[in-house]
Amino acid sequence: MRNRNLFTYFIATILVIVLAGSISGMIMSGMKDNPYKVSVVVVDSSSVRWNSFYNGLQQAAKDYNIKLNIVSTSNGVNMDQEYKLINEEIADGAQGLILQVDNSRGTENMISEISGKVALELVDTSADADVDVEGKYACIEADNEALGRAIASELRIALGNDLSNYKIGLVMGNQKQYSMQKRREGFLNGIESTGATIAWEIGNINNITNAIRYRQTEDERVDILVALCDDGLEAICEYALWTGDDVYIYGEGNSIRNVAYIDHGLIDSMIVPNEYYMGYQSLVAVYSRLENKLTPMMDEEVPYKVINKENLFSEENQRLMFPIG
Amino acid sequence: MPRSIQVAISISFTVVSLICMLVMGVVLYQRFAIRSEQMMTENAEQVLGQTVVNLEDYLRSMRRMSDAMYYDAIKEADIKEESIDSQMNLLYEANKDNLISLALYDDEGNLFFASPVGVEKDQVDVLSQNWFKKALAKPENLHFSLPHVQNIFVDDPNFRYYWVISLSRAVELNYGGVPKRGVLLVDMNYAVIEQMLDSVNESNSQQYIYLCDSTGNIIYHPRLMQITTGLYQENNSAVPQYGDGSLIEEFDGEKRIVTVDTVSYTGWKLVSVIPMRNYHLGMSDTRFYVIMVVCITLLAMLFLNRIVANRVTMPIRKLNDSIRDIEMGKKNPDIYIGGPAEVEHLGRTLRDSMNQINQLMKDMVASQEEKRKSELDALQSQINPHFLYNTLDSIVWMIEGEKYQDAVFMITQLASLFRVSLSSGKTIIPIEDEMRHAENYMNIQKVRFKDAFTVSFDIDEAIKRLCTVKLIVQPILENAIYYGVKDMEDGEIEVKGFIGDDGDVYITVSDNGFGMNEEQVEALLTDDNSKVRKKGSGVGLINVHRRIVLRFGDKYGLKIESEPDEGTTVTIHIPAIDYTEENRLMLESGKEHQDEE
Repeated sequence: MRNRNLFTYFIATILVIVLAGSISGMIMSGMKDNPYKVSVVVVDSSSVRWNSFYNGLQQAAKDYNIKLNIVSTSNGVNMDQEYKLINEEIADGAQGLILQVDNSRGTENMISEISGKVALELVDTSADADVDVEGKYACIEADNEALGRAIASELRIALGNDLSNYKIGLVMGNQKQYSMQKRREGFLNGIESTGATIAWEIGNINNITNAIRYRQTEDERVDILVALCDDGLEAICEYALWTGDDVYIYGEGNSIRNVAYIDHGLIDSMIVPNEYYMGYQSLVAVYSRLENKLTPMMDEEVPYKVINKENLFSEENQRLMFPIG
Repeated sequence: MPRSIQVAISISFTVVSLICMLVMGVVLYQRFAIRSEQMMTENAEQVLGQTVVNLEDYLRSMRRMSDAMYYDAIKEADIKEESIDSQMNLLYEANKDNLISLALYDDEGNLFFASPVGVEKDQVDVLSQNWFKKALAKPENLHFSLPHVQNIFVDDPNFRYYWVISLSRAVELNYGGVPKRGVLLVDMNYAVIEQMLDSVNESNSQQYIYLCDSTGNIIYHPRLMQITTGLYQENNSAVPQYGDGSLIEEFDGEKRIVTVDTVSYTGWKLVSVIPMRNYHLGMSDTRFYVIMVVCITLLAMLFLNRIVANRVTMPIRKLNDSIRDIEMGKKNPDIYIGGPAEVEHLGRTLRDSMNQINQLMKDMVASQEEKRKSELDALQSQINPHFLYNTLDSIVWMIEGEKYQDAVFMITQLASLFRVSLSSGKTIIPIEDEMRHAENYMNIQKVRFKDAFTVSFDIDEAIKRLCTVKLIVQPILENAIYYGVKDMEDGEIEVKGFIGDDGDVYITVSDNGFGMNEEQVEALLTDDNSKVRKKGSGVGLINVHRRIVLRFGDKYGLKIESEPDEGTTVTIHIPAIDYTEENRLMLESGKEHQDEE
């Protein structure tokens, strides 16, 4: 009789366990997971240069069921303001943060603090940070040094290796960011042996177009205008259109306006990082970290292409340059 | 140790239920899964079919528009002299939602007309563009290009570029009366197709459709940007090998249900993809549900099984308990009678059997008691003081009368009589000894009655070594003397012993005495002590009869035949059993009651 009871209880226990498992399975599968909340803080959030980046972010948000919040910022936002915005987002429930820092220097404490609270992904530029053995944050950016070199290379391909007769005006972008510093470094290294002269350099100022015009008319006129960032390249083109100045224009960019300028023949060659890729992958990295806190975040490199009038409409490039939708 | 019925029923029922439920659950789930998969595939085919119809309608309308432009405007006009701007604009305005532009070129790439009016880009090389080349290469067909960014006209001030699908055809132009070849270009707004297919891909499931041309080049894909940037892979290169219909393909380590439908005229293929993972995830709810139902049902059956097994086996267990009580020797055990008919029958039978056993035991005890009493009575009779007194008296008389020989004779007869009476405590003796006892008795009585009668013994040798109960002949002889011949002058008593026709032993004691009437005969075999002669041995024929019946059975005993004034014959009927130690012990061993005492 005792054996029979033991047998019955054993079977009943197993059935109850399986029943509990299946009920919880049903409930869990029926439950829509609460989407993760991820905030995006970049400098000058409304700039068209971010269009592809946002497209990538939004596609990733759709694929991974993430609630995305792109924080509105101006071109002049500084680190303190970014820090404040970040804390507001965290207080609002953000579980992940995608951040482009305005200034790469002196960010150790901020990054350490933020990465302790949320999954942090730096985009576009790296920043100062303490050694991160746990992999609590990472950075996704192009190989900016190589990018700078690629701009120089395009110059050399088009105009030859002897550029001693040429003067170059350089729109440097925000040199507080390491990405811009590396691009400058890469470009200067790439152009060094050509003998070209860097006549002047313009940093991240408000009215670049006017500044260029001033440099060209009042200071030293250059034959080649190079921009290390999308805004700078647009400004150069606007200057050229405005003044009719026949200069060679090279640089880095991805906005549709700069693409149109290539089409116009205004920009001779443009290095285009895959911002869609950067947007998509940055959110994927944050999601992976949120899904598994033990997974260390890893840095990633963003690929880039060299686009000019000849290959702008090639089957491969047109999809990148002219995103559908 | 054998299992109890309840355990056997429980386990077997549980195992059968388990197996049946599991089999049923698995079979039903499989059936449901297959049906579900079929339905999903059919649904995909339906959606695909409808989308193909919509696409074909759209493409047909574009072809018709191209036809209208060609046949109603271009063919009717002299391009050199006349302008077809108005017709072109009219057609454009009527279809501007679906169009980006209309344009007419000659075969050297020179633009004749366009709507909306636009400025051609500098250095645009129309001749190198695929839509132009294909149109002239196969003038009999209309050609649909892959989606591309329109690269003909200067972009509008808002820096907009349009994705188009170019519908191109070779046309015959009348140029100042000279036939000339040209190309009519209809740049269809790709956004129309994109929106059409986006609306089908709106659901949040992993299922999607995409469009590719007959060589597998993607025209539309919901993840086109991801494919372009290398973040997503699609198996579009395999599509040209697939015919219309559904199949299961394995791609990137994942199984998918792929349904293909061809768009007529263009050869484009619309492909529906349902990842099996998606299907399995959708089925996971059903799976959990089936498992849940099976578990609940099994638990219920387990519970029910216990109740049923309990109820079925309870009467048997109660009956078993009753038997256990009997086994333990409980006095007056209460035998359970109840439950199903079979169990009730068992209980009733058991009870009846127990009652019968108890009764038999009582009978046996009573019988043994009676035997013992009878033997005791018979033994007691042998030491009846009267008989002994009278016999000793006779012996004294003989000694006093110096009839020493007679006295010796009497003493030896008496000794022999008592020796047989005692028989070392045996109850069963050979007939030979019984006859000796009878002879001893008669010799003594003859002396006492001064030879008032004669007695003869005619015993068959065959019966002398057969078994008999001791002290059965002497009481009959006593009766024969005291009721028969005592007062006669020529009284005769005859004792015969022989084997009857039936193989049994018969010992008859006949006298020619006064006989008895029927009433007296009956009284001899009653238990009424008042009829026992006190002067004789004191043991009535009833005692003899009972002892014979008790020892040998109802079939045996005494039979008395008597006629008044003629005589009486008493017949002893006993079975013929050889006198061996074994038979003696066997006949004497029926004394259970004496053993217990």
